[in-house]
Amino acid sequence: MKGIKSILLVLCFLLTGCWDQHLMKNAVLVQILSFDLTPKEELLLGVSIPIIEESSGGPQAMVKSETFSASGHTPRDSRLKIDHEIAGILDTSKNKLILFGERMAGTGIYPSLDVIWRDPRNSLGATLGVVEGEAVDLLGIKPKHETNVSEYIQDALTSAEENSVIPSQTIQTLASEMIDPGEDTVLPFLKMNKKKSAVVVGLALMNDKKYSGNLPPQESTLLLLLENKKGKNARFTKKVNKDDQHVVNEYISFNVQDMKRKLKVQVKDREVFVSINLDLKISVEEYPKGDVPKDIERLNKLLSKELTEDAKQVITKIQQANCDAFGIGRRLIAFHPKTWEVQDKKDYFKNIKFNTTVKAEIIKHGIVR
Amino acid sequence: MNLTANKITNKQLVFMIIQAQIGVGILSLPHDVALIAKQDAWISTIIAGVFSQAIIFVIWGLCRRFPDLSLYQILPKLLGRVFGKILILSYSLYFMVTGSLVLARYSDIIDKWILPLTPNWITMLLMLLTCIYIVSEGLTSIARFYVLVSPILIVLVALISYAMKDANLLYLFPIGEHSIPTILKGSKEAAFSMLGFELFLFIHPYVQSSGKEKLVAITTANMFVTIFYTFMVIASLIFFEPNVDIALTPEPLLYMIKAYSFQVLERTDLFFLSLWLVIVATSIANWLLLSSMGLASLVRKKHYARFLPIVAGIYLVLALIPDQGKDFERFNQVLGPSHYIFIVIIPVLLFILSFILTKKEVVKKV
Repeated sequence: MKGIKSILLVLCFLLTGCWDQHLMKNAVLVQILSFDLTPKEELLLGVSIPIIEESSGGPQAMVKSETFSASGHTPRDSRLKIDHEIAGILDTSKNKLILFGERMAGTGIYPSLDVIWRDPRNSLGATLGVVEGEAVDLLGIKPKHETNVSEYIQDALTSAEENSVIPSQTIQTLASEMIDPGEDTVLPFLKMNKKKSAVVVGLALMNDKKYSGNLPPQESTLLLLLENKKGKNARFTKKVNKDDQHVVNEYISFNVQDMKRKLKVQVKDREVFVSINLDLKISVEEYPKGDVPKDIERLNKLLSKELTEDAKQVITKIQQANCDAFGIGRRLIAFHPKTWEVQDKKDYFKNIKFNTTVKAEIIKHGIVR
Repeated sequence: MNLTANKITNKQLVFMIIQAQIGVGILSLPHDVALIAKQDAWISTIIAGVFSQAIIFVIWGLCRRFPDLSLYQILPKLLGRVFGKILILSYSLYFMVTGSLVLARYSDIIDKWILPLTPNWITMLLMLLTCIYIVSEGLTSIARFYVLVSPILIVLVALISYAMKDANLLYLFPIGEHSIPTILKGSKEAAFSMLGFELFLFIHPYVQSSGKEKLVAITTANMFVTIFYTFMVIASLIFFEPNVDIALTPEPLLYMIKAYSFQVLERTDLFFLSLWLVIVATSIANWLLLSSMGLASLVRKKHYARFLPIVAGIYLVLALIPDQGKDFERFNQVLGPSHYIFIVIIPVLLFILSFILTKKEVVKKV
């Protein structure tokens, strides 16, 4: 009996994973996926895979990356074609980023993501992004200080996240927002500039599941503040003085230290009124003209006025794009279900009346006055 | 039967009932209930808990009239030998079918989430071997094991709570939008996951405590399970959009934590699943225990352990029959009414019968 037990025990250790083992040596880890539409309306899938090169002399191996692409009817179809092309088995379980070309995003991003949700081995921790032009081109850039493209793009996104240009989100958190009829998503908007490097140029606004417009970085930050999704920093530069002999003296740069946001949804006669009050406590980071305390009253007033104007501008833009980033529809479903019933489910966001005020107050100005 | 050995304490009873109630259903419960009651699914879950409590009162009342007899001994006593034996056999068969359905669902989830290429009979066999080992040593060691593994439930709660940082509370509103019949229909789904307290009918003679203490114990267990389930349902409701999204994800709790990775841990769902395995093992072990106890009392054998391999074999065969989602539905359709018959109707009838026939156990020393 004892013999049998020990044999069983040994078998338990030896037999695990006989059928389902995935060996690292055979796997080709995909770090970025890109989806584009070809002129023939086929789906063009691009993958960026890291290539580790034995370094000559240095202690660390160099990680470069290479891009493959193929077109097909569905993401899996294209992936199969790439699989034939490379040695090893494509493994998307460590994928960190999925990029959509502008045209692809315009037709809707949801269908191509189905496979990501369906296969249990796929990583749901990845984020999404929209690229101006073709997404696959962005995978081909050759940045100077970082040889691995995916590392490079991810670092760019992380820093944009810290600076509240883009929200922190994953495919999983986006899924519910995308499906929810009363809420729309915003995604990072990237661009390849002439020097062959990538920049985050703000937010792509999604109307339901389709790309419908974008915001520049400063307005993106303001939108995130209005959404109460501030990252680590939220920096702005504003013109506050006129006609100084040095142009630089006309400006002030500040960071948002602390903030409070109040969002109220009211319904009167089937019309929806939303008031957003943003209370910002800011710290001045740059004021070349000098002496903040002397100007503090004027600056507070001026900045509040400017930011309120900007916020109105942002809201006009997202209303034009019909992107309900605030989830006003969800609030209507939750607290005013009868009003929601009579709303136009597609274009309700355009008809909402917004009343936005931003109040800025300087609380810090560094170690000089 | 020898009643002096194999005793368990009242506290152990609490954990045994908890482990019996929480089982394979926990992963899919939020999906099943939300499919019907949408954002009001959590109300359904609480109502299901209240229903279970009502049945628990009846079961306890029945047991109180026969403090030294398990249901397998009460049946022949109340209904006569032949009819009693038929019922004992049907109880064992019922537990076998329920148990193998749990086994089949367990291996289905393992197949979908972790080991798609491993043959299902392997995962089932490994599970059954473990369960036989747990059960064969008698009630005391079963109870001790259950107490030992109960902290796992806290870990599960902690993992789910972590995912709550991305939740949207607004999904819960408007509260009570659905009609009462719809919510009650939802509780029917939830009630199936609450089953397991019937274990009390069979182990109550071995518990060393007074009748009242036993009632407190099973009520505590049922309350814990209801709160636990309600938490899980609310968590899934506020994480997934409750109309479409949750309907698309059959195992919302797993999906919810799949997206998170910690410093040393990626694919948190695998971690969750391996803890969940233990919870499933305890509930399969329960059914294994009950069905082999039934067979043992059918042929008046003292110890049930000899029947374990036979019963486990039957489990394996039964569990290998369904291999599609559709089969599970059909299985459930057949099993649905039998749950009511065996857990609700028969105990209630027996309870009433015990008054009509004024049959009550004469407390005697065995």
